[in-house]
Amino acid sequence: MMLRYIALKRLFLRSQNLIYGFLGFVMVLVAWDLLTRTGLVDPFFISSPGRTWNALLDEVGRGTMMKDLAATAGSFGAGLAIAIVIGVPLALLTAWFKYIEYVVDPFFWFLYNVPKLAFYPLFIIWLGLGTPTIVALTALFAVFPIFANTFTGVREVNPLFLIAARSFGAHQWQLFARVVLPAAAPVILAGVRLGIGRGMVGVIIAEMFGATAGLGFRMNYSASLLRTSEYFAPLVVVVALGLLIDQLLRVVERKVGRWNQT
Amino acid sequence: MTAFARRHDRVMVGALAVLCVVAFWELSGRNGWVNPLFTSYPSQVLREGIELMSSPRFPEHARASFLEFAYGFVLGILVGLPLGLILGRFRRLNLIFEPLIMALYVTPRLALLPIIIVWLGIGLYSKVAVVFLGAVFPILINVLTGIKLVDPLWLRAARSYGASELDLFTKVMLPGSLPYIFLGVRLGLGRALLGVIVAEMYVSTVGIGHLIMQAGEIMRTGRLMFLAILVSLLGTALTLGLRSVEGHVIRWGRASDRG
Amino acid sequence: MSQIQVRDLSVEYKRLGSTTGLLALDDFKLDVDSGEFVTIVGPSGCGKSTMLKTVAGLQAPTSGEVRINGIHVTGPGPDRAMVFQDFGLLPWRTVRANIRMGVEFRRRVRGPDVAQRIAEFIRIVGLEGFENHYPHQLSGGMQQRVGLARALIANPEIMLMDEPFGALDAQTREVMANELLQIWETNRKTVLFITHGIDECIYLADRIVVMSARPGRIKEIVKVDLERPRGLYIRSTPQFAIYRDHVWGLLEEEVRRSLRAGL
Repeated sequence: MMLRYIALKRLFLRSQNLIYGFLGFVMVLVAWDLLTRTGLVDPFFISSPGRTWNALLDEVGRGTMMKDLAATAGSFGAGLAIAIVIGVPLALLTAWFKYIEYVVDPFFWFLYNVPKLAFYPLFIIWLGLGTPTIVALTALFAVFPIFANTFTGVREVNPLFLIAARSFGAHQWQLFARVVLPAAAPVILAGVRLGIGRGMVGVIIAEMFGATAGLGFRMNYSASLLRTSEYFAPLVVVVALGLLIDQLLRVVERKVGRWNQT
Repeated sequence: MTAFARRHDRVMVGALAVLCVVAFWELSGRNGWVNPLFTSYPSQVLREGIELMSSPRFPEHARASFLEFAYGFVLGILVGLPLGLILGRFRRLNLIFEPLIMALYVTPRLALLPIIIVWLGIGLYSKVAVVFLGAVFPILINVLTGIKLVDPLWLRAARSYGASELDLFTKVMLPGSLPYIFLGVRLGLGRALLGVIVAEMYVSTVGIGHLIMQAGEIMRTGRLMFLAILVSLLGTALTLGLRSVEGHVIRWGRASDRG
Repeated sequence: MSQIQVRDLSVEYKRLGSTTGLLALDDFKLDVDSGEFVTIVGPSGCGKSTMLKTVAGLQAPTSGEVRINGIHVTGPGPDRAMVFQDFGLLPWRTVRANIRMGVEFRRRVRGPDVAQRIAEFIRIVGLEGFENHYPHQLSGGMQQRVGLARALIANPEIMLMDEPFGALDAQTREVMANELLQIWETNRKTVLFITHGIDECIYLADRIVVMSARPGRIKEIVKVDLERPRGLYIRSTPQFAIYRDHVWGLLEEEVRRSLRAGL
């Protein structure tokens, strides 16, 4: 009996993050519902949990939700893949070779300071209106945290590891593959997680500006028709998806980085 | 290589790389290796930029963007700073509100653009709201973190010398969390700037963001690039300015982040 | 009546969400007379700091009590001042401002006098010329001198020193110990001094409290009969060596025990 109590308490402490998130979510829901129920705010402006849920079911029933989800997921997946394929190797090279870093550094900082959405019109000129632009913008949003974290992860590997390995005769490539990469893996994964978060923002924004399907498109379209509930339904899906993926990745991160007790 | 070059190799290589790219860019545009419609070239960017800035309507746009940014950012500080201090100081309050704040922070505020427009219209207020939302969360969260992370040794020492709760707050917690407060303001600044541009690009009749969209629509790539560079420079200037203020105020240690 | 009376002191740290606690101190009893220099030595984790914090009024006992001049200790007070291992200086304050903290909160000294007293104690600890420096600009030894000055300016009856030289390198430690004694000779406050160093604990003390491994109890109290004032040379004398052997003999067993227990 006592043991079960202790085990429960331990589980509680470990899943505090999730409980916190859940609590926050519940609080938002309750506040949201109360605002319209008490007549404080006109449901036209902010809808309500009930109405949003109905709109969601409606969109699922009509098949539009699935189509939107597929479109967004597709663009997002492609954009993320591009961001990883470009970001990770580039960051590895930049972190490993000093002169590559010197060359890349000014360009990276410049791009970082430009509001990424300003590239949207440029992408349209290059790629036209439609999915390629959306994918490009998603990739642009996602690549920065991925690059930054990969770079930092490699750079901040405890130099002691390298000294120890080198003293046992490891060459450059062995150092890189067997010491640096595993050591940097948790940070790189964290970067991918952040990249996913930013990538989601990117894909939604791009769809809001110019698309014919997708969750972002649906939000923009519904809002322009002043159909508030139909705007909130995809938004809720976006936020929920984002949180879900983030939490899943955190679990994976913890598993991978289990040796890394900070 | 001279000793000077070796010591400043980072700057030299960087500058060299930038110069090469700029030169290549200029040549490729001018000689038509790449259609200048796609990428423009430096001299065209400059030319169209100067043309734009000297046009009669430009000050109007600049003023609009500036006002939206200023109002929103200042509001963000006025709300975020006290709230962060209060929540950081009174742990129990924080426990209640933190989940709510994190839930709101996680929501991509740019996805809220359409509904903000519905609420506040297409004029000044909606832009200010977007800027405000961008600034307030980093400020609030970092101020909160700053107070939480005050070294307990400082508190213990002060307490052992008879500090009251008020003393602890004003003389230890507040100065101790200054690096984080500055960090929050710096982060908020970046997001606020992004907010102005994005909101103006989404729907607006004035502002730099609107000019960017317009330049894209009429395929004036040079002007488009100029505006993007302009915004980037502005952001960098503001951040540097803030860092130098921080450097003057905080003479006793280093800032808490790298970038 | 002894100035400090510790009776049946037990302190147990309860971890949040756990049913078992960590017994840091068990039935600790100690009497300290006014003007005594008492050093406390023991293996890591034996509860030395906990005991000091309880006397300082920063830690509530689980059972037992501490009395100072007969009065029950319930919190920090102007009669005691603490010196911390990690200095406990506020990084945004200059040396002067940090020293001022000793009297600032309790407002026991009026305006113009404060500046004068700060200058006096800066001189005593040997920090002239560094009044306007920030902690990060100072070496460890100098930072601890600021901590010392801060404690002294508060003019306490009792100085509580928690491994004050623990963060300093070995050479600085010796010099600081000697300087501390010189300062102490001029005002003979009661001192409770925690240390890991065997030479240090003998060199400074009138009495040495040797503690056992966790949970902390008194293993033995050793009276040090070396004459004062003591120069650093005294550590090479045969009497000192006898004390050293004795104390180490007591400690070694406890250190090994605590190592085996994974503390």
